[in-house]
Amino acid sequence: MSQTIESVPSGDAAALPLPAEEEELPGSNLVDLLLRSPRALLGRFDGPDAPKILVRLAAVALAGHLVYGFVVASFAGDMQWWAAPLKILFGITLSGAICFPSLYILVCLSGARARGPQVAGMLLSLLALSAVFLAGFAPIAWVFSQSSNLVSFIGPVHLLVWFISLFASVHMLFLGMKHWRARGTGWVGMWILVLVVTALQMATVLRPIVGPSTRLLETERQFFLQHWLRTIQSDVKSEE
Amino acid sequence: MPQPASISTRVHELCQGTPGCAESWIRRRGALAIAEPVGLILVCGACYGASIGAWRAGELALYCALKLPLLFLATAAVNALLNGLWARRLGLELSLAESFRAVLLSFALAALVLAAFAPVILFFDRTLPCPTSRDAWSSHDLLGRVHVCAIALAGSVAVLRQRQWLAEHCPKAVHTQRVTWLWLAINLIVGAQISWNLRPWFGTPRMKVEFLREDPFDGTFYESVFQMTRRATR
Repeated sequence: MSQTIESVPSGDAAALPLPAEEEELPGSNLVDLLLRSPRALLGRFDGPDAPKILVRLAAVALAGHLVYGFVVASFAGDMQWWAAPLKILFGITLSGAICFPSLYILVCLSGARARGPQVAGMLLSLLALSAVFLAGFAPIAWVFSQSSNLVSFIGPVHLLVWFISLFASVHMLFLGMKHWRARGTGWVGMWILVLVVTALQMATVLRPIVGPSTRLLETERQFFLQHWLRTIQSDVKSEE
Repeated sequence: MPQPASISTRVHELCQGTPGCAESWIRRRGALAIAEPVGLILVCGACYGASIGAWRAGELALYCALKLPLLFLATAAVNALLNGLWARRLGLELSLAESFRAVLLSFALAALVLAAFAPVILFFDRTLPCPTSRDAWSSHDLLGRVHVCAIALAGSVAVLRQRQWLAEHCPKAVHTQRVTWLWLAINLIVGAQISWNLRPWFGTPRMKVEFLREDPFDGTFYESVFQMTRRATR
């Protein structure tokens, strides 16, 4: 059912001690910590400044998504200049919030000695790191946005960028599981699927995000696969 | 005398599978020993129950929020005697009350896991094509599969943890695994029937929303499966 990371002795200590070389943190730059010393960052969630770091991680996550939101908006322009970034921010925040209870319970079921703030730290680290990657991808995505006229092309490009950013960041969850002595990571691996499906449905609910529109939201309820299929079909028709 | 840990701490430890934590629930005596797992089942079961009915109608969400905890509690109560007898028969040093509490506790854990997924399922309930749309059946089938997966996940967690609790509670017993599977079989067989009596759950798009069907004791789950199989093989 769950894949074992390593066997760790049970004890009263909440988490594994930090490796000696990571006790001295390379400055206070959070982005640097996320990229270069994720274990040191996770260790900070056990300390008294955890709330402060959570707030800063949330700020990094929101800033990265906001930057990418402007790139997404550059495809359609007009109303999307403000609507797309706001929808992306709202969507990722709500997706994270509604998936948090299931992450918390699955982390607990895996035997990790983590409480609410630590699990929130894992989630925000994941979102913040993926936001950093999204911001890094922004210039490339902008080039594609300016070069294409097809929603059914640029939509998958943005999805691919998001997938790569997310999967380059999921190790934050697995490192967190190891740090708080989980017996395995199988449950959390499954949770990533829950987050991805929820975020994809969220993007469908908040559509249009990529294409041009005069309306802020579409009222028709659709499953994301159904929406993608219809978008591709309508683009094929208009090309013909 | 040390203060007993708060319920949130004990629930947290129960989820983590901390060795010995289930003992405080199973061995405990008095009204709280039953009231705490029942309270968990009521609250968490209601959250998930609401997510089952919410796609069809708000009214059905309310009904399911009442019926899901009722299903858990009725299944545990109806099976209590038989579960206790089998445990004794297979050599586990469990009183009837202790075996009842062990079953209740596993239902409470299952309800807790289900409740954690309720926000995600509620989100899908409110964003997938509604029961009056032309794509209603695709939403109905998709949500049905999601509920099956969630319940299977919660059930697996509860069964695995129950096996661990029994092994800790009766370290000398050799048949703890057999008792766990036997309890699972009894609970599934009876639970399926009680859930049949408590229909509707999910809300078939064209059928009216009601708390119970007109004659809830007309037919059984197993007769219906038999009839469906016969129709499919004709």
